[in-house]
Amino acid sequence: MADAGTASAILATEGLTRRFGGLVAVRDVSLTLNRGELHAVIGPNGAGKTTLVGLLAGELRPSAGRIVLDGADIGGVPAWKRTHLGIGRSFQRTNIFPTLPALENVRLAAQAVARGANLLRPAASDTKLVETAQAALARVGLSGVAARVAGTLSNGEQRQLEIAMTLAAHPKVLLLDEPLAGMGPEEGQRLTGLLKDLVREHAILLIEHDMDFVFAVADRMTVMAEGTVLAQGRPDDIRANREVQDAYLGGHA
Amino acid sequence: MLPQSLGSKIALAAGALLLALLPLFASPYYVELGSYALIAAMLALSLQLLVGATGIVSLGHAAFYGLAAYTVYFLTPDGAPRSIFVTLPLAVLASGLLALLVGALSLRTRGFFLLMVTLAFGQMVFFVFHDTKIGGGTDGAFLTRPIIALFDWQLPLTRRQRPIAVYYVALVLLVAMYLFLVMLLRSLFGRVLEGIRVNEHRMAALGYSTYRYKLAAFVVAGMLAGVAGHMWAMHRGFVNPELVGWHRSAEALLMILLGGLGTLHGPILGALAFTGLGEIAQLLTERKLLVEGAVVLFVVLALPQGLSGLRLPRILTRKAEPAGRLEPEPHG
Repeated sequence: MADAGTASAILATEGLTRRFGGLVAVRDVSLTLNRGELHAVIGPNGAGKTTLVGLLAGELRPSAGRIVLDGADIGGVPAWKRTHLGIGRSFQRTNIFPTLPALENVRLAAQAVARGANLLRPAASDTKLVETAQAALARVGLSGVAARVAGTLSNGEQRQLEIAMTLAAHPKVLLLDEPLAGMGPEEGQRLTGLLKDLVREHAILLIEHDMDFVFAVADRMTVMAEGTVLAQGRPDDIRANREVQDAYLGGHA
Repeated sequence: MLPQSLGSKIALAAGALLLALLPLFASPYYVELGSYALIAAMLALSLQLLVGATGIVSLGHAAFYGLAAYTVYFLTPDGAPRSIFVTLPLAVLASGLLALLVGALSLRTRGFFLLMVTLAFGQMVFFVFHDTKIGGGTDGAFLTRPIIALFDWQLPLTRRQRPIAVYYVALVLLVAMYLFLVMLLRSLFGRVLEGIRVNEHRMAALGYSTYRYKLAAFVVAGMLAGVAGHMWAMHRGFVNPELVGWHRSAEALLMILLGGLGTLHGPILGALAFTGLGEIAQLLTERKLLVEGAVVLFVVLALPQGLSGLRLPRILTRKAEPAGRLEPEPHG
C-alpha cells in the first residue's frame, strides 16, 4: 500500500469525512501527497472526488478527520486563506472572469498573493504583476490571446487559462479538478507535457476521468468508490489490482 | 466603466465646462435647481461604486446621505455658523462610521437578502429621526448653513451670491468625487472590485477576502454619500426624515439605471436628466411621478446601457463600433 514517505509529504488527509445530511460523500479518506509527485485520484461519478477537492481547497468543512499542510492542520482555514498557504486549485467547470481580458484574469490571480502591494497604485503601473501573469500565460501556451476577452476564447483555451490562473499564484500544491474536460486531443497532449514539467516544482493532486492520460502522468494513484478509498499505489499496482478492475477499470486493464 | 477614448474624455470635460458656465446665464431659480441636481448626482455617483463597480445593490444608501445632513444640524442647530472645513469632515466621518456598521453586518448576505437587509437598516435610521425628537421629528428642522471660512478669513457673500457659491462648491465636489473614483477604479483595489462584480466566487478561490474588499467599498461609498448629504444641508439649510428614507435610495438607483450601469459618468447624466425630467413633468402635468416612471421605463427598454449608451449617429462619427461586444474594457 501507500509508501507514505512522511518526510517528503506536503499535504495529507487523515480519516477525512464529509457528510451531507444522511449522505456520506467522503468517508474516512487518508492520502498523502509528496513533494515532486503527481498523485491522481480516480473513480466513477459520485465517488466523492470533487467533494474531496472542495475539502482540500477549503470550500467545504470536514465533518471529521484532518487536513495537514506542511505539518499544520488547516481543516478550519477558509478557502481564500488557503491560497496564501500555497494551495492552488483549478475548477472542473470553467470558472473564469468571462468579461475581462485573459491577461487580467491571470493578473488578478497574481495580485491575490502579492505581498505589500499598494492597493491604491494604478494597476497598469504594476509591471511585476503583469509580467507574472504573462509568464503564466506563456507557460500554458496562451501568450497569443492575452488581450482577448476571456469569454470569447475557445473551450480548451479557457481550460488552459484556468490553469494559468492557478499557476500565477505560485502554489506549492496544485489541485487540478478534471483539467482535461473540454480540451481537444492536441491541447490534451500539451497539458500532459505541462504537467510533467510542473510536477518538478509542485506537488499535484489530479482528478481525472481520462484513464490513458492518468496512467501517462501519475506517479501514484488513489482509487475512490462511493466516498471511500478502494486502493492506493503506483499505476502498475493499480492496473493489476483485481478489485479496481472489477469496480472501475473494466476493459482498460 | 471609465472613459477610454479621447473623444469621450473631451465630451466629459465639455460637460463639466457647460455646468460651470450655467450660473452665468441661468436665473437664480435654475441655479438652485442645478445645485439640487449636482447633489443628486453626487449621491448617485457614490452609489455607483457599489452597484456598477462592485455589483452590490443597496437600498439603504440614503441613510449615509441623510446622516451627514443631520450631522450638520447637530453641529449647528442655530446660531453661529461653522466653517465647511469643520462640518464636511465631521459629516463624512459620521456617514463612514454608520456605513462601517451597516456594511459589516449586511455584507454577510448577498443579492436579494442584501437588498432587504440594507433596506431594513435604512428604515431603522429613518425611524430614529422620524419617531424621536433628536432631529426635529417628522417635521424636520432648520439649521444654520455652513459657511466658506478658514481660520479668521471668511468668503463674504451677499444673499444673492450665496446660492451661486453653493452651486460651485457642489460642482467642484462632484468633479473631485468623479476624479477620485476614476483613480480608485484604475487602482489595484478597483481591479479587485471589478473581479468581485464579474465572479465573486472565483475571487475568493484566488485568495481574496471578498468580504473585506466589499466592506471597504461600502464605507467609501457611504462617505461619498456623506459629501452629498452635507451639501444638501448647505444648500437647503433644512433636514427632515425623508433624506434618509428608502425613497431617496431608490431614486438614486433609478438615476443610475437611467444614466447607465456600465459607466462612471452614467449616474451623473442620470441625475441631471432625472432632475430635469421632474421639473418638466411638474410643468406639464399634475402627475409628475407617472411621467417620470414612464420615461425611465422607456429609456431602460430602449437603451440598455442607459443615457450614457447614446452615441452620435454613425454618419457623424464615421467610426462604427462593433455591436454586441463583451464589455470592452482595455486593461494594462
